[in-house]
Amino acid sequence: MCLAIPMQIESIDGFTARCQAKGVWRDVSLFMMQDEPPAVGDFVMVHVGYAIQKVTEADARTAWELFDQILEETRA
Amino acid sequence: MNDTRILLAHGNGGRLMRELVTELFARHLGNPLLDTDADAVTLPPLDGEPMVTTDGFTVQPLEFPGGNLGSLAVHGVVNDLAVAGADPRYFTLSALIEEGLELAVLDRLIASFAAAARENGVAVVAGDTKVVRRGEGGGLYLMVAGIGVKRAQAKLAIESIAPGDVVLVSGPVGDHGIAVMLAREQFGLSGELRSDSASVLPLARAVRDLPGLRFMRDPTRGGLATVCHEIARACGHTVTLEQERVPLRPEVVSVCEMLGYDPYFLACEGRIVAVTDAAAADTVLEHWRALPQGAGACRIGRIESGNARVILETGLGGRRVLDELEDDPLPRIC
Amino acid sequence: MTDTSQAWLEKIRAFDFERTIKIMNVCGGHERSITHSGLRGALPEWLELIPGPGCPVCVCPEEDIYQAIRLALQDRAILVAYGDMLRVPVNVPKGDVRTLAEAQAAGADVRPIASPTEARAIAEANPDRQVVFFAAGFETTTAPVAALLAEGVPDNLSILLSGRLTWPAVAMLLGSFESSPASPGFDALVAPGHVSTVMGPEEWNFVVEQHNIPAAVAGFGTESLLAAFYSLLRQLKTGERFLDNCYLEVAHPGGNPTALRMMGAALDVVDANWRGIGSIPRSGYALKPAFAQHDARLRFPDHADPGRRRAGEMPPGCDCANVVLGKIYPNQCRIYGRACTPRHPIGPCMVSDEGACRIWWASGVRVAADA
Repeated sequence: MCLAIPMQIESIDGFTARCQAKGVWRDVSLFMMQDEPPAVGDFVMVHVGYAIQKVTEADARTAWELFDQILEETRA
Repeated sequence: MNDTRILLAHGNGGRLMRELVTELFARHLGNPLLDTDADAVTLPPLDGEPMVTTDGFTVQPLEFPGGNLGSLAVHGVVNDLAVAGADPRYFTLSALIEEGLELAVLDRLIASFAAAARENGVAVVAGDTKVVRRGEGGGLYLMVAGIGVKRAQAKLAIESIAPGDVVLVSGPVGDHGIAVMLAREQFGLSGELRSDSASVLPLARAVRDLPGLRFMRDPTRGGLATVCHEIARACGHTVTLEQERVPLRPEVVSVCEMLGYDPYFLACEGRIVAVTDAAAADTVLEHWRALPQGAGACRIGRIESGNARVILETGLGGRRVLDELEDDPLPRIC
Repeated sequence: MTDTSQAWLEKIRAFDFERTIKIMNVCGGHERSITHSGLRGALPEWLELIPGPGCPVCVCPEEDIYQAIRLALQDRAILVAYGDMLRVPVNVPKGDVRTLAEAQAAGADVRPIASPTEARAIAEANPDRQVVFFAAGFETTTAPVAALLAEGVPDNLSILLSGRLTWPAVAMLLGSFESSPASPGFDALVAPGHVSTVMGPEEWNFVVEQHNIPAAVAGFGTESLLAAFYSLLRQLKTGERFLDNCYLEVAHPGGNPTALRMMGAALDVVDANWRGIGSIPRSGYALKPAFAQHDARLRFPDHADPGRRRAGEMPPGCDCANVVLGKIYPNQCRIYGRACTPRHPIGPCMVSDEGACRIWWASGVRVAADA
């Protein structure tokens, strides 16, 4: 399923987070984030008003990038 | 006028109605031509070709960041005359008021209407009020007819648009649609975006005598894409918009991403879309950018030979058809 | 650092395939991103992107929409639903109310919402009325319904759940294609990013392990999508097979454990009907008996009308089922662009913004292909 966008948490009150994306605010439910509670400043992926996951940094876009990197290092 | 809200009696033809007309409407709108006791007024002869237009206005909420129903109504009619190459002169105002509307709100809206009219050199010369029962109206509806005088030296004919012509816009699109939505806190969204509601008369005046100017229109409901469809239908050619050049404010982009809207269909209330020949495009942009309201003006597309349709060119070089608006935009499921 | 879209495009163009490669996506959001960015025009001609069963609105059973309309019109409930569902037509005689939008025009209280929390707020604000939340959607959209139930809902709120699981439909497709080799099939699969975010990317391992078909989870930006296409093509080229994750920043291994627990507590996985396709084993969600008092199917009289003609079927002439299954392209349907347009949609694929037919129409494909 598709329509979800990353929003940044500005404040948290219980399970409700005030989130912002480019000058638009929305109250977002953190009820589905109880195993890994996000903190103020974190980015969460928001779908139909619920945070469904924290947005983290990814080191690679595809496993091939890592594969090529290792290959290069082995050759070096 | 001791009441705080509009009563049905304000529309019954008696004392309350007389007081409403004289103490509220005429107090703000009064001018030498306005005679609240007359059935009709005589206008002085116009010093040019007369142009006339009419429009009705409704918006929720009645007051929103960047404007309100009063100023919106004036801008709407001024803009229709301005993009047709006219200077606005005389307006009539018909107000349908819902029982229960706070008089203080009505007062602010009509004061705002009057101020916007003055700023644009418009005199309100006739008016009418009606009161509808509570629940039968959205607080206030305004119906405005406007008379102007044609001033443009440019020919301004939509049929004259030809392949090779350039499409310009005077500023970011979709601000009004999203500002009003955010003001309603619809779907739990909020923000501080201001409506672009404004008179485009200065923008129109700055360019209306340029010989290379072919056509101007103020995008309102249906937004930029709808104006482009009107152009495509009338001239029979393809309107090609370049996605990355269409100016959009971050808030507009954000709401569109959240709810799955297309920004090209969102309402504006203070922009001009112009079509010029290739030689005049830069001159129009220079004139617009010299004005505060035209600071964000830019070139967004071109007219190409082909079927009468609207194409959006994407950043990756893809092309997609921007269809005519079919439904009211609704938030998508996913 | 990751490559830009342009760099991914160049890498993809550097492949040389002698035959047409078909990559299927099973997410309306992917199809929308592909179309809106004009990706098809930018990719090499030998690469075909096929939209599969990714539109929850399109596969929502006709009888569920019929029931929602009846609940709004006859039971006078406040019917809340996501916007897309308001325009999907049911098969009724001419002149009868065909959609929730028409029910609204006929006086029913139908309200579009953008979050389950709005359904709860509307129920709380109208304690003396029944509120029915018509909740169609795949896993990503069904998980918040489970969360809503876990958090507690007012007595006057019931749910007409039409939740579906995506992977069983793909499993059925793969099975059906093996038994019918004449069908177009596909060479590789782009797995849905947000379904994987909630359920865990591992759900898609079966595509690789059981069917030897490359699969990659992708997000919704062109960079992530192009990276996934690149990964799939390189897998096809080298013969290696694995489930790639091109949406690592969001689709974390194991999915969202809270969401999975809440779905497990509130919902049963059941056999379910997909509009035009039929029943797919263990592909739908139903409220567990503990939540029976909030199940609109149990709480309100059944409005299924056995005398209703073509109940549950696709409209006559409509080939949405095969479009949804990726067996034909939208413009291979006989009524595409003729009887069926966004202005007068016949099949659900032309209604939803996520439907393959609507998306193709919006991207400019106007004429039906010669069969």
